[in-house]
Amino acid sequence: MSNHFLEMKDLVVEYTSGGSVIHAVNSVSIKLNRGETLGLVGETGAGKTTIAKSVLGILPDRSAKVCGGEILLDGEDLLKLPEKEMLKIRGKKVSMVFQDPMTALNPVMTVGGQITEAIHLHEKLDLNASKMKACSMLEMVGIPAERFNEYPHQFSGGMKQRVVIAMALACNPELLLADEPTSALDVTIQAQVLDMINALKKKYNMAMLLITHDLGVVAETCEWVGIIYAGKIVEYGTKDAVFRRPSHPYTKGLFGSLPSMNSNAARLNPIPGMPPNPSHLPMGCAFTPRCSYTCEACQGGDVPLRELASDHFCRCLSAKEV
Amino acid sequence: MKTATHKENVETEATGIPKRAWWERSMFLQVLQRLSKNPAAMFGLILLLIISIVAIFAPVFAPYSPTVMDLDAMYATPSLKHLFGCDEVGRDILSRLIYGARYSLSIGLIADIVSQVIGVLIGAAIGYAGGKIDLVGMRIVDIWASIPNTLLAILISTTLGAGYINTIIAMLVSNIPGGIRSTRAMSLKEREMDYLEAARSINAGPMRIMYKHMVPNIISPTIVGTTMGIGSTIISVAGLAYIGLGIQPPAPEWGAMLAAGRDFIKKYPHMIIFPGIAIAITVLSLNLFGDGLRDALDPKMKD
Amino acid sequence: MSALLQVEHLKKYFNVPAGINHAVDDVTFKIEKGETMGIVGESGCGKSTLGRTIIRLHDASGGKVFLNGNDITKAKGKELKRLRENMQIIFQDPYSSLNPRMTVENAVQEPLRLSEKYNRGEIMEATQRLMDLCGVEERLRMSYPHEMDGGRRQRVGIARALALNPEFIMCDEPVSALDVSIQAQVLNLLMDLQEKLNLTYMFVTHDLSVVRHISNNICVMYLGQLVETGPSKELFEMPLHPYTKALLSAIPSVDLDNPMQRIMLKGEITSPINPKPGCRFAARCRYAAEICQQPQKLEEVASNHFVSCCRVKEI
Repeated sequence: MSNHFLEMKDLVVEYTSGGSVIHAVNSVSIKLNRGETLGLVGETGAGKTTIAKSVLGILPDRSAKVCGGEILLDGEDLLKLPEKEMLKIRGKKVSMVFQDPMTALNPVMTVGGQITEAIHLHEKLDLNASKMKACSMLEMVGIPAERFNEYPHQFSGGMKQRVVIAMALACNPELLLADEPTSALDVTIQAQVLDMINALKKKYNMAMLLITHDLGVVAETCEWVGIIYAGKIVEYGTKDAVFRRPSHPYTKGLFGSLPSMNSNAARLNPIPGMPPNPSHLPMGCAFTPRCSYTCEACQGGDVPLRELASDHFCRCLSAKEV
Repeated sequence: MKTATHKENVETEATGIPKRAWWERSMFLQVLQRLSKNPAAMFGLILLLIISIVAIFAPVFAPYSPTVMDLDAMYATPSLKHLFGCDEVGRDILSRLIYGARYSLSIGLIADIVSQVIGVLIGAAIGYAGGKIDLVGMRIVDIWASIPNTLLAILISTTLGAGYINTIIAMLVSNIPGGIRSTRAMSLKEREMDYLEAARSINAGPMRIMYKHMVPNIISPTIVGTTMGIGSTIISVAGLAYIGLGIQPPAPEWGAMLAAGRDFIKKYPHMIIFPGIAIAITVLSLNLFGDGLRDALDPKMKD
Repeated sequence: MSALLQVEHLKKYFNVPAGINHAVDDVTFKIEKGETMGIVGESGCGKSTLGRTIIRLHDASGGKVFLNGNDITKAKGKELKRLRENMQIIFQDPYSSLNPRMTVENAVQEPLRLSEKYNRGEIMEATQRLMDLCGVEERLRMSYPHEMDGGRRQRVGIARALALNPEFIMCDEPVSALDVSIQAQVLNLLMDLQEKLNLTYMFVTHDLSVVRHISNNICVMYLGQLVETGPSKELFEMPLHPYTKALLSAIPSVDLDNPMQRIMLKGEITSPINPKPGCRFAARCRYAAEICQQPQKLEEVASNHFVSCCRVKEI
C-alpha cells in the first residue's frame, strides 16, 4: 500500500489514426502527495495532456487505448474502475481545468448555473444550497456574486478562466489536473490566476498536476518537476534539483533556449532539429537526433531512469550522479 | 542517422516529416481514395455511371426507337416484347426511359452547375465586399429567393415558351439565389483569414483575392451541394411537366411521361411506375454519392 | 539622420454598434533604419491594429505615417502599390496565414508574379534564393501548408514577406503560436535576416522576454494609448510607468534566487469603446489621482525615454 496520494506506474497510451499507431505515452511513472504540485513540462505532442486525460478517464473512446500501467489514487486503480465509479470521482475527487477558457464554458448557460450544476451533481445538496455554494465559489475566485446570472460571453478571458477554476474546485477535489490553465491569458491576468490557484491549493491541501510548457510558471507553483519528451519522462525531481542542476540534454536545451530578461546575448541557443513523429519513434533514446552528448549506447535500447540523487532522476546515459 | 524501426526514407527521421509520393499528395486523388472506402457512396457512383453510360449510348441499349408508335400495342402491359410495357400511343416505355435519361441528366447537370457557378461568383463578391454591397445585394437575393420556384418557372415559360433551353433557364433562375446565399455566408467567415490579408499586402487586387485565393478554399460545400442539387432539379423538371410546362411530349422526358400516365393510374399503372422508379433511382444515386463526397472532402480540411 | 519610419499622433477608430472603438489613440514614435522596435501590451491594447494601420492594411483615422520622409498615410493607387512592396508583414498564425491550396513555391512566388517586374527565370531563381535564406528545405517546394509544422510554415511566411525586398517588416507576434523550441530558431532567423539585409522591424508581441532580446527600443501600449517608450535595456531595468512596472513584475521567472516582486493590478481592463478622456490605466493604477483624468502627454524623462504619466516624477 503506497503512501503517495497519486501514483502512476508505467502508463502506456496509444492512439490509432488512419492506420498508424501513435505512441503518445510510453511508460510514465509519477508520484504525488497531497498538498504538492507536480509540473509536467513538455512541448506539443509530448503526451502531457494524454496523461492528464488518462487520470480522469476521458480519453477518446475510439482512437485511444491504455495499453498498460496503473493509476493509483489513494490506493485505488482508476484504470480498472467501471464507468459508474469514475462518474463519482470526476468532478468530485479529481477535477480538471482545461487550456482554453473560451471553449470550456457552455455559452448558453449562466456561469452561476454551470457551477451550481457541478455542485448539485456531486454533493448531497439541494438546488438552493448548491446555488449558495456556487455564489461563494465565485466570490472566492474574485468574481462578484452579482454576476451569477451572466453568460460566459459577458466575461473577459481571465474571468472566464476563473469561472472554470471555480467550477473545478466547487466540490473540493483532492486532485486538480490543470492543463495549461494560463497559456491563453495575458501575463498580468496569468499572475493573478496563478496566485489564486496557489492560495486555494494551500487552503484545501489539494494535490495538483500542472501541465505547461512555461518553465517560469513551474518555478512559481510547483514543488516537483517532470520533463516529458516523446511520451517518456526524461528528467524528474524537486524544482530545486531540476532547475539548479538540469541533467538531461533536453532539459539543458530548454533552459538554454529561453530568452532571458537579464542576458544580453545576441543569439538564442535553440535546440536544433524537430520533435520526433510519435508514430515513428526511434529505438533507444528519442532525443538522440538533437542531442550533442549522444553516443553509440544511446540507441542500443531503452534508456532507464537513473537516480542521480534522492530527489532527482534522469533518463540519460551521460548524466552524472551528484 | 539510421534507426531500426524506420521503413521509410532516411529523410523522415532527420526532419520528422514522411516523404510522400506525388500521388499521395494530390488532394483530388486523396478524396477519391477516401470515397472508395465508403460503400454507399461507391454504390451511388457506380449507379450513376451506369445510368450515364446507358443514356449516352441510348441507341445501343434501347430495344426500340422512343418515338415509333405501334398502335396495336397501345397501353400494352409489361411483357417479354415490351419489358416495361407501352404508353398511350404504343411507344416502348423502356426505350423512352433510356432516351429520357439524356434529358433529365443533361438538364439537371447544366442547370445545376451553371447556377452554382454563377452563385459562387456573385456570392463570393458580395460576401467579400461586405458593407452596403452586402446589405443591398442580399435584399435583392432575398426577394428573388422568395418567389416560388413553380411561379418562376411559369413566368419564364409563359414569356419564353416551353422547351429544352427554356426549361434549363427556368431551373437556373430558381437555383441561383441559394448558391449566392451559401457562398456569401462562407465568404463572410473566410475573409477574416490572414492569408487573404497577406495577399492584400503583396498587392493582389480584390478580384484575384476573391477568386484565386478565397473561392478555392470555400468551394467544397458547394461541390457537394451541386451533386445533391442535380437530383432536386430533376424532380423539379418532372414536376413542371405536370403543369404543362417544361419538356413537352412527344419528347421522352421522365416527367412528361409521369404526367401523361397520370390519368391512367388505376388502369395502366405501369405507365407511371417505371418513370417514377427511374427518377427515384437516379436521385438516390446522386444523393448517396453527394453524401459520400461531403464526408470525403471534410477530413481533408482537418488535415 | 531621419528615421526610416516616423509615426505621428496616429489614430485608428472603428465604428461598432456600441459606439466608437478607440483602438489606437494618438501614438507617436520613430524607428531608425536597421533597428527593431518592439511593441508590447496585452490583449486589446491595439498593438496589432497599430501595425496594420502603419502598413496600410487599415486606413488611419487620424495622424500621419512617414516612410523615408514621405507621408504615406493617404497614398493611393500606384503609389500605394509601390509602398506596399516596401512594407511587408509576417503574421502570427502560421496556420491561417498561408493559403491552404497553394504550394510553398506558389506562395513565395505570388508577390513576385504580382509585381510584374520579373520574368519566369528570375522568379524561379528568386524563389530558390528566398527558400535558402529562410531555411526552407528544397524538397518542400511542392508541399502544401497542411503537410508542414508551424515552424516551417512560418519560415515560408517569412520568405514570402522578403520576396519584394522590403525595407520594413511588421512582425505581428511571429513566434507566439510556435512551440518553445521552435520559437528560438525562428527568432534567430529573423535576427540573422535583419543583419544580412539591413531590415527594419516593428515587432509586435505580448511576450516580454522575447521582445527584450530582439528589440533596440520598446513601446508599451495600454488600451490604445502609448504609455512608455525607450531603449529596451533601460525600459527593463528602470520602468517608469506604473503599467510597465506591473507588466514586468508579472512575468514568471525561472530564476529561483530572485523571485519577482509582484505588483498586482486591481480590477479588470476597461473598455476601449467611447473611453473617457485622460489616462486609461487610471482605473487600475494604485497611484491614480484627480489629475489623471486630464488627457496625458508623452514626455521625455530621460534620453530617448518617454513616459505618458502625469505623476511619474512623484512615484
